[in-house]
Amino acid sequence: MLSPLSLLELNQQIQQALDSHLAPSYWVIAEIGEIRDSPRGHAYLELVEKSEQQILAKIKANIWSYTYRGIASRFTHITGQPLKSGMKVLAQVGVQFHEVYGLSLNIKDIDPNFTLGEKARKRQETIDQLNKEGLMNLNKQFLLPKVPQRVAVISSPSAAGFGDFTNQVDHNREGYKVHWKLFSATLQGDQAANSIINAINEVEEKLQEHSFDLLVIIRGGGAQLDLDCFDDYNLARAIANTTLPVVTGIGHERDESIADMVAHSKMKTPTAVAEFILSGFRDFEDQIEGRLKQLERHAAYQLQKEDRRINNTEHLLKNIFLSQVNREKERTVRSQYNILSRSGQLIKLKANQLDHLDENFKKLIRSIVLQEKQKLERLNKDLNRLDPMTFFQKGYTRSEINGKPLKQVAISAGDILTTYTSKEVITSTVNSIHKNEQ
Amino acid sequence: MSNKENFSYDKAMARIEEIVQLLEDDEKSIDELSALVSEASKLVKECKNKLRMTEEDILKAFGEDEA
Repeated sequence: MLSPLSLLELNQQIQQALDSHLAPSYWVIAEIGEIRDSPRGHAYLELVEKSEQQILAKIKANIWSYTYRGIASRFTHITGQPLKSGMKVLAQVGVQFHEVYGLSLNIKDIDPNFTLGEKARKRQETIDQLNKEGLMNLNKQFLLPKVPQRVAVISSPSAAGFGDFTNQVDHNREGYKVHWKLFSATLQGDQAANSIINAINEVEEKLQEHSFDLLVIIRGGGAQLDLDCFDDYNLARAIANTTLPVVTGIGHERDESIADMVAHSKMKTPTAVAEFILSGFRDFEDQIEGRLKQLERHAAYQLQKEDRRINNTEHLLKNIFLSQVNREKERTVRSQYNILSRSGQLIKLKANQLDHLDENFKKLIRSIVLQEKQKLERLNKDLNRLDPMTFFQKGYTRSEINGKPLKQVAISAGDILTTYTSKEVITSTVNSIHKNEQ
Repeated sequence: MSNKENFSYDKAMARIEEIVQLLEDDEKSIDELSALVSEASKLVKECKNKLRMTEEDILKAFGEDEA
């Protein structure tokens, strides 16, 4: 049995063995399990290799401060993000053994292009999985509300982009009122994805209470770094599964994030999101105005049509009335004519009858008068004939005794006889009486 | 009998006829006869007059003069 070594001697032997058997450096693919900066500017890491969630290998590593500065700035410049845990890296390492601190890797260089490719690969995996699960277009199936008036906003109250957004929607030219409610979330760093997921859950919980039309996730302003959280599978899943259409305004210049891809619509900046919401209002207003104009046109057309109809009806009525009136007039005229002609005939007839009657009457009068005249004439003639003067003028005389005609007296001789002629009255005495033999 | 208002054509005619009869009978004295003739001829005149007036009145009433 060899004499025992001191621990230092053993550690020195381990060191020598490692130095002689191992190459000065290796390129190694590993995941950063943990990374922390020391106050002196060094970086202390833990590199791991995993299969699923099982750790297959693990080792401590460090990057000395002068190397670390160069590596970190180049890495960030190329990949757009700092070194952080969970990242797969291709690192040039030297194996080192320290008597006190034990085995560790000294990182001499990190190839940022590997991480970039790795990230792209991971990203593609996430995209493939989302596609496979049918989540990629799930949120796009929502119909965007025409006028999204109640908007849930997931952002950080301190983010410049949030200020841009609220400023834009609150002071829009048209004076549209947009009711937004902020659900605060961390938008950067390791906790960002979970924080946003929590905020989404909170929105879902309060959905009934606030009846949101739209969910907006905005970032923007600040560092353009570290947008990895928006490529997170779980966040993408959460966005896809929300019951609201999601609009993103994450504000980055590179390729769109997976959050952008699963969202209903993506805008470049928070201001653009605000503008997008407002444009919905404007479109709606335009549409309403268009409809109003249509309505106006239609109403005017209908009014005109009705007007024409009324006019036509009026015209028709007038014509009907006029023709009826004319017909009645003609009838009246005919009746009048009939009455006139018949009454004329009747009058003529009656007049004739009357004339006739008149004539007859006159004739009758004349004949009566004539009769009377003749009668009178006859009586007059009789009177003339019987007038004593008529006899006297013819030479006859009349004798009376004691005022009595002779035929009424028994005459005897010695009677005083009074005899009347036309001119004289003779008184004589009767001498003798003889019978007249003639 | 000379009163026109009380004049009655029928009575006058009856009187005239009566006088004519009296004259036909010839039983009166000359004085009476003359008076009767005188009365009768006056009545005849009045009757003629009345007749003419009546005819005129009637024809006038019917719008025609005795022309």
